[in-house]
Amino acid sequence: MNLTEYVSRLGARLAHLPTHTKVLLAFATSVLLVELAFRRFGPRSKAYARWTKGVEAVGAVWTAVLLSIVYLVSVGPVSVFMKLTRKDLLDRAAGSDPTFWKAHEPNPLGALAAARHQF
Amino acid sequence: MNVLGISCFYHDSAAALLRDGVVVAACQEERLSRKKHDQDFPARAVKYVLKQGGIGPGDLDAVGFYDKPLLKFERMLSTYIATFPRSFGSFRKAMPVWIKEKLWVPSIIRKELRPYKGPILFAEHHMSHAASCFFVSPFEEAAILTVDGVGEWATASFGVGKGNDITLFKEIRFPHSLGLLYSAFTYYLGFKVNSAEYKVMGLAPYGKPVHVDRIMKEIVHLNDDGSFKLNMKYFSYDYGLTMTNGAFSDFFGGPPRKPETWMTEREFDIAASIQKVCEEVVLRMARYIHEQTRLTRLCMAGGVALNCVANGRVIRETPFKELFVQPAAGDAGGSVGVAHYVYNTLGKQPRGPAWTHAYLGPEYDDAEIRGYLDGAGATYRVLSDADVVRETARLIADGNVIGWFQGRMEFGPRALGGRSILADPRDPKMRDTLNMKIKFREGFRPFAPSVLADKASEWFEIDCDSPYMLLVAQVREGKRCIPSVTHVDNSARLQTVTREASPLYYDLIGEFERLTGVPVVINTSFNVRGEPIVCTPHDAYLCFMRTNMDHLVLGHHLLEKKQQPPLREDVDWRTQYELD
Ligand SMILES: [Fe+2]
Repeated sequence: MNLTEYVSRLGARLAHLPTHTKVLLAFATSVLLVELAFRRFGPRSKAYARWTKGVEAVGAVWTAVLLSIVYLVSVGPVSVFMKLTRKDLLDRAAGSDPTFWKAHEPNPLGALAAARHQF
Repeated sequence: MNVLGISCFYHDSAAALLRDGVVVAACQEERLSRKKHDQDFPARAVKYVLKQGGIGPGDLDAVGFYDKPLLKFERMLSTYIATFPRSFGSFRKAMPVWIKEKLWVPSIIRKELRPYKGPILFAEHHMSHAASCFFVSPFEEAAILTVDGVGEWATASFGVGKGNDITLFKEIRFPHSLGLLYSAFTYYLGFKVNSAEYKVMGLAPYGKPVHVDRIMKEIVHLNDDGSFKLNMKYFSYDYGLTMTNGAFSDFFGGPPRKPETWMTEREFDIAASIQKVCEEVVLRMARYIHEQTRLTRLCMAGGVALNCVANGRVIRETPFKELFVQPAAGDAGGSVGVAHYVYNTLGKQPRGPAWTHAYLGPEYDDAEIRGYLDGAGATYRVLSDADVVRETARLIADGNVIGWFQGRMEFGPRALGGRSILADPRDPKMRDTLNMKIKFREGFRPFAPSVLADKASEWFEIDCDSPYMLLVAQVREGKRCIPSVTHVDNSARLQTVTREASPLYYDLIGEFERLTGVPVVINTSFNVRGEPIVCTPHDAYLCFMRTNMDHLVLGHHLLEKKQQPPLREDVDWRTQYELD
């Protein structure tokens, strides 16, 4: 398959895409092209700084959305389970124990092997 | 054998280089980046310590990191689960930083230390604190107490150090934390958390500890052995972006004080109360540790060990006869601790000599200083060693305020005569002058004295050394002629100076004594409010020119303010530094 054939096939496939996908693809391509153009022609320009700020703001919104979903889907159910089983991972309940000191448990791997790990 | 210790990603990041068991250099990143309490990877500090050691990253034998990131992450996740759904704000703020940076410590270290290929070793946070004080102490065997905000899970721990080994026995775990309790009150009193806790300590003597019983009854459940639990109903640091909540405000009858607003007896009393509670907890812990270990020597580290009022009481009121507090007791000192832990404990190597000073940072020789001053167009005189001492002492005795920049910079939060502002403690107005016109800081804050070590017990109620300004003692009754370093309760946070540790500084204070009969000078850090202590001649000159200091002594160079040309392209420091 030569290049002309390849391009025309790609064009045909794109033409068959649903409209909203086409719009999204065009938008993403434009963002990429603008970013590349700034990097090439005006990496220190005020316009690029403003553009970066804008894109970062969009990123912050999306991060918040994704983290909200992660929080609800992962932290939420475990928390509900813990509450149902009356377990407190933080040991917050007031107690009348004669001591609140807890034994310092040495790592079972041994000091040197434990030091190679982040846990 | 060269071991690099690194602490970072929480606050006060730092690097330390250990060669054959001796710390060659140690430095906080903030001094080089000029960003107070800088928490980023200490790239500049690493570069400096390696340069000081005359090696590159490839020559390192091991790198130690001061805590266990995954255990910390586990604690955070557990906290989010336990405090769901209130922890959402905290989760959303913390997760991006963890995902981007804090979970990838080994990769970041490898990238920053190219072409280093050796091991990266991790110590528990409180083990790093313990090692940071024990291995540089003069004790072959000692009890160890570490108390801070929080490490991985532990917020306080104790154990014993013997030879090149440390065993930690017990700990208090998050969220029950003396450091965070103190920080919560710091926040409530309108000061910056992880930064201005020492202001609460300075404020305490103005008030009466009227809330102690209420706090002990309702907020802190304290046992005789110093262990405690906090009533988390009053705090929000476990789930939120603030330290205290509405219940805490109700308990003290009002919302947190707004920063920079006027303070009343109410704030003084709250500060006095939490200080008293903090002292009581530390004292009970120390007594219990003595009971458990039967040792008479104690080493302390962790942010709470910077509470010099509590330290002073430990040495006076517990069976411990000797106390060593790491000068960089906060997290910066963790870099020294983990390096020692890797070398001495894991490597089973014998210990090196004990620390006698904390001058472990950058220094600049006369040629470098002169090069800078000439470039800046400064006017100066070059003096001999003897004249530096004579002229500076005379200027201080005449009521001048002096910027004093000599030798290597100190490691840790205190200026100890390497990067200090010096003045006459006899002048009752000097405290206000320094606070308002030079440091631009709150008027209530006291200044600390440097005293000749051999005269310390004559002037202060102390019978041990305090080389790192980490003990508070009363000024003796017959010696109250130094009002500018005497706090309202007649106490002083003193530094004892020996010729062995700091010959030039010792001679300067000695000369001041010859002129005035007083072997004491005011020693405050060389910076303005919110600025990290100066590191380079450039930092020192800028600070000198932007404030009302009268003279600057840079090595052998004496500068008088009146003779200096105006600064070129100066910016207002108030816009450069965030107030602490
Ligand atoms: Fe710590």
